[in-house]
Amino acid sequence: MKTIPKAESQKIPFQVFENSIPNEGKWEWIDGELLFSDEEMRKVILMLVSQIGLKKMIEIFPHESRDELERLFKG
Amino acid sequence: MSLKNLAFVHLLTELNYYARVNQSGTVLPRTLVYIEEKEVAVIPDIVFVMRTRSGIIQKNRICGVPDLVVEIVSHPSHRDKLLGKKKETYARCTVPEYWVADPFEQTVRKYMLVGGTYQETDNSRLFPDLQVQLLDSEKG
Repeated sequence: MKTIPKAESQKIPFQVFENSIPNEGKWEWIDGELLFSDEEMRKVILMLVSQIGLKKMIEIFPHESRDELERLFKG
Repeated sequence: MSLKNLAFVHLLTELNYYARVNQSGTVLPRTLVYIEEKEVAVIPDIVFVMRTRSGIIQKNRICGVPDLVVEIVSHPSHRDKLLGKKKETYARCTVPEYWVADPFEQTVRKYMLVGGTYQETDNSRLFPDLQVQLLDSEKG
């Protein structure tokens, strides 16, 4: 099942929730990095952004990050 | 119950019983271990802290280096993480003993810190006469 974040918030199907839990649900931190594999990170970010929606995600970002994002899109 | 959870309950029970009988220290399940100077915050499956060092146990975390860390393989693909990054990290944090329980192979690998690196051993210094055998899931 593909997780595609949209502008608005979406409900998370159980299957997505179950498959997106990273590192057995443990948030561990080593040398300033979360101990998630790239795939675990991808899944959890997609799930979280799907849940809150892109609009909310952009609202959450500090101005500097929004500007950065804009630059990247124009890139 | 998953193979990992079966192994977890079994190991936790065995270690806790041994530590209680010998009054050697405290066995804790899935507790946050924070080692500030090494920039490490992990949640091992089981940790053991010797009685003489029990001051590092705080209300909802351990602030310092436990004497033993036990991690349990939850899936065969999980072995690399436990025998790679986690093992390196625990050695860097100077955790004296590190065990990796593998319910898929029914093994418990024990490592002892010698000169900054882990060497596999059959004998634990902390649980010297404890024979840990993971249960066959078929037999329960």
